[in-house]
Amino acid sequence: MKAQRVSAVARTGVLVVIVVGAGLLFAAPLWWTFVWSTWHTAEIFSFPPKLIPGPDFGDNYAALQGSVGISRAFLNSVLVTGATLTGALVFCTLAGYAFAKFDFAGRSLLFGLVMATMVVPGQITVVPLFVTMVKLGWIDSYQGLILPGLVPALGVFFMRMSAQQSIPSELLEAARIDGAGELRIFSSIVVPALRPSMAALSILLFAGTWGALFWPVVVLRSTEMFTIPVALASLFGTATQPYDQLMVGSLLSIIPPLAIFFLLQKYFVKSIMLTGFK
Amino acid sequence: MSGPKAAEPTGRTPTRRHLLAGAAALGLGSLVGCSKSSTGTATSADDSAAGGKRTVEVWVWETVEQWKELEKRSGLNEKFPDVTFKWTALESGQLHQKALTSLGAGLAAGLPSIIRISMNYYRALVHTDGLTDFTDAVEPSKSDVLANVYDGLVVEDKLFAAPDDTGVMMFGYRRDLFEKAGLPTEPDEVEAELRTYDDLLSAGRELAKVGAKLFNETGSTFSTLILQDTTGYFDADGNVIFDSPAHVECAELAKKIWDSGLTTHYESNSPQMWTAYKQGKLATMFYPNWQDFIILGNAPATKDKWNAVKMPAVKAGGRRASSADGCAMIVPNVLDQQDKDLAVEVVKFLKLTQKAQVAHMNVFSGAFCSYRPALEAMSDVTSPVLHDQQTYQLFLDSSEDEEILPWYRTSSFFNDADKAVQDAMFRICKQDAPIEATLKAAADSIRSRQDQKGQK
Amino acid sequence: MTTTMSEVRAASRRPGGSGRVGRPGRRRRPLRVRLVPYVFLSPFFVLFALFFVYPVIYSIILSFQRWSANSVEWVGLDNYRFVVDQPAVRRAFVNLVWYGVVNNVVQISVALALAVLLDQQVLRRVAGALRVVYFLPNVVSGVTTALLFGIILGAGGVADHLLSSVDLHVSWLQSTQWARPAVVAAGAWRWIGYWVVILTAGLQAIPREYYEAAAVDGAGWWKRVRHVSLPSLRPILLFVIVVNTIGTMQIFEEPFLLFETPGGPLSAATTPVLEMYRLGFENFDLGGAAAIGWLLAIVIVVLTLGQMVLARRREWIE
Repeated sequence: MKAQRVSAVARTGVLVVIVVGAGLLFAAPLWWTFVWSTWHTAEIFSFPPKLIPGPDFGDNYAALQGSVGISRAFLNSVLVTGATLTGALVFCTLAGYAFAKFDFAGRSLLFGLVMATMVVPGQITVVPLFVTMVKLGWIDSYQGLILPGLVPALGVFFMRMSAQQSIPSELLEAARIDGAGELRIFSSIVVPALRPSMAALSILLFAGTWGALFWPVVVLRSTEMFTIPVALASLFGTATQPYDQLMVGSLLSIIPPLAIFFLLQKYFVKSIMLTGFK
Repeated sequence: MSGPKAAEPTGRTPTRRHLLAGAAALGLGSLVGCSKSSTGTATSADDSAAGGKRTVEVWVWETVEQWKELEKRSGLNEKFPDVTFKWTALESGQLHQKALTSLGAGLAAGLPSIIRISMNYYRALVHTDGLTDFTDAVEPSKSDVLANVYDGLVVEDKLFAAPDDTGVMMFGYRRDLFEKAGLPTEPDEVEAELRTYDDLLSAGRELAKVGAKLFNETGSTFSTLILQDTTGYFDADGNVIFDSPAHVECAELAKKIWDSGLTTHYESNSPQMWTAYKQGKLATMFYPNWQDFIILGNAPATKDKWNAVKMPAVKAGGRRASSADGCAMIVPNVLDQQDKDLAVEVVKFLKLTQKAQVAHMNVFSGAFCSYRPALEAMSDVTSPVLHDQQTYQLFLDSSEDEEILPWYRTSSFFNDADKAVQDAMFRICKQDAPIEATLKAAADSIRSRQDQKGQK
Repeated sequence: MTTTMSEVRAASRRPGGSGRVGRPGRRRRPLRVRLVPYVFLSPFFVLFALFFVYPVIYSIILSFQRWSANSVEWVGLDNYRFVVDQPAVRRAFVNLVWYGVVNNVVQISVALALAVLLDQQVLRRVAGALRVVYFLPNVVSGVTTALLFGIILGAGGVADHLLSSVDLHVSWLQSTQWARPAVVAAGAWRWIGYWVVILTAGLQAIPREYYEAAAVDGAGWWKRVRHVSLPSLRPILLFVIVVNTIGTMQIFEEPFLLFETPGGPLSAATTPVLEMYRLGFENFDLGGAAAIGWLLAIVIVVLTLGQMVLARRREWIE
């Protein structure tokens, strides 16, 4: 009996070491981002690696603000990501619901088209898109930045799956029999049912939109319009990379996605489970 | 472009070392832009209807504040009273990409009136057929422009840009560390002592005894050495030449230096490298005229401990200074004729008049323009980093004494060649690959690309 | 739109139920009702067509052309031949296979192991918190990841010091052998947590009775995992592998930013997207870049279909 208990404890101990050790490995670089943003560049490369924050955050932030106007970039990122996510959620939910709960001509074709584009590397569209934007006069504008991001194929795929899982067709039929209009049905039945999935989709899309670099770099010109990734990337161009400033910028760029994640994470897991993966 | 695996590249250019070491520190001059805003297709008719003030937009790297300062000091506003200038600061890599893309696409709406470009991209830009002809604007001033710079701008007897800043490469050393190692410390003595690279390696062995190495090597020493006695990777017509006997000799020398163990191998311009300089573990560096700025930015405590002298010669009788970096100003071809003319006038004012160029070199300390009268006016300026040396005098004299060769970046495959050379030197230095064969293979790969695309 | 909606409402109020009018037995709906799904789809599809489909088609055309400011000429397969000729591009596609296999093996086996371990009853209180910690790297952008690992794996960085304390020296970022593993390391840090969350959802959907039944039959812990957990996870594992593969095919930021020269020394770690970027945006060879892009797309499609077919054969999915 005792031997069994000891070996059970030992096994638990090993288990804990493994999973907690893994946790430390994942968390360490994030902690370092915070720590390194509070030291000057030379200390970042010292050994033993600094584990505790230092006194230089103010300096580094001021330098970063001076070189790329990071606070303005932060606001731009918030604005652009907010608008993109809101729009993407609306469009993908409408489309996903339509694909899931309606039968219409061309449904498989259109859905297939959306799915097919998921395997195409996104960068392939950049140059033609750039030319389009120039012709529309939307270079260096918010709309030029936001509009291409409003139609992620993944979003439609995900919302369709969620709509299939979470909305009982009988409910829709009943509502229609009762005389409810389609818009009414959408707003009072579909949207509430899909709320967890919308939250999950927000998480899935957030990091990609917030951290997007290639398209903003191509379409933006003036420093006032830069989003955070573009602003940080412009620092890469200097002869000596100011790692301390880059760390401050990285820290700032990590905080909103983390916040969103913590706010919405229970929806994320829940909706993954709901989708069932048939 | 969203999605969990959306991969998003940055606007960084791989020729960082060349471009940015020069450009960032130089903070080259402002360009005055004429008549076009970046978002619209405003014609000059619209502008004059809007009260006579025309807008000229200029793309530059470095900060807008510096350009605005230049606007004041150069007398730009007095010369062009009806013009408002708009500076757009872009990171160098992004600037060139946007320029290439827009000029190549022939779209006016995406372009400013004037763009400052690095000579690394000059040919590629010329090949877009999107640049205004500058021959008539620049040729009259030919005798006032440094010969090697003028030469580099000529494409089939025409010029498509105005000469902007250039660079001269010399060799810097730490007086205090040389003293510690028992080496001479005064510039004329050091210059006589370090006549060849073998002399430098001997000095390196003395320095090693006091714990210091020569400089930081990343495999790019070859690219620096070849400019002393050749025109770089290409000849005047854009033919690949970096597998010639002279180049092979430089590669052998580079390999010798690499194998000597007297250099460090950190990433170029990395924090580790600067820490080594700060701690007195590195005693020399290749020293272009803008290096003052870089040292002030990264190791300010070492100022006044440096001196610059002519480089050691690669071979007996070889040149001891070379061209370094260089940029130019272009005007897109797609503008309206009126706007184009105005833009060209502005560029001429900024780059081919003494007052404007002197103002430019004062605003962007360390910049070395290619307009001789302005350089001569700066002959008294003392270096903030070099001990008791006058920067402009020093670099101008060296470049003319040594009759430095032009650096021909005469191919739109310049960046490809740079990468091919980098790879070749990696193999040669780190993998002991046979020098001549490896260089030839790299050269042939660029030649075949030129053939396939039907253009140099 | 308002008119259509009110007409739809009116139609749906007619006897015959659910807005379906017409002869009994025939499910023929009025045009206005049939339009509803199209109306819902249109915001998405209008933008989709303009900002995705059109550029994608345009890029196919681009891949057969050569551009300059004044002219556009058709060059047939020349661009494809040109890119296939370049050693860096060939290396990129070879790396695709390497990354594809290694990323899947490393990321998924570790994620699976962690998911299974965290599923143990004894850890249930901390499992949720730990999963959050594992997932956190995923909210960090690719640029930041590359930046962090550039410091960690760089000369004199954390990894260097840890290894030298056991007398090992690995030049992660300046050697050809370790360049690809460096990219894999950064990717693993970023994505393992993501897969853990997904696999956990799958594990938690497995009814406890299955485990209890297996335990009654005398199966130990490992046997239970092997015969209950893993088989039930097959559809999810397939999903994870497919998505991971598609994503791996598009790696860009890490090989671009980790190294002093993008793609690593001798382009050892380069990827097709990186080569596409270089060709298109540094050399302005749009046709060539489009050609690489489409070669990549073909590879992705073939691989994905191949994986699905293989899975169907092995009865991982119906």
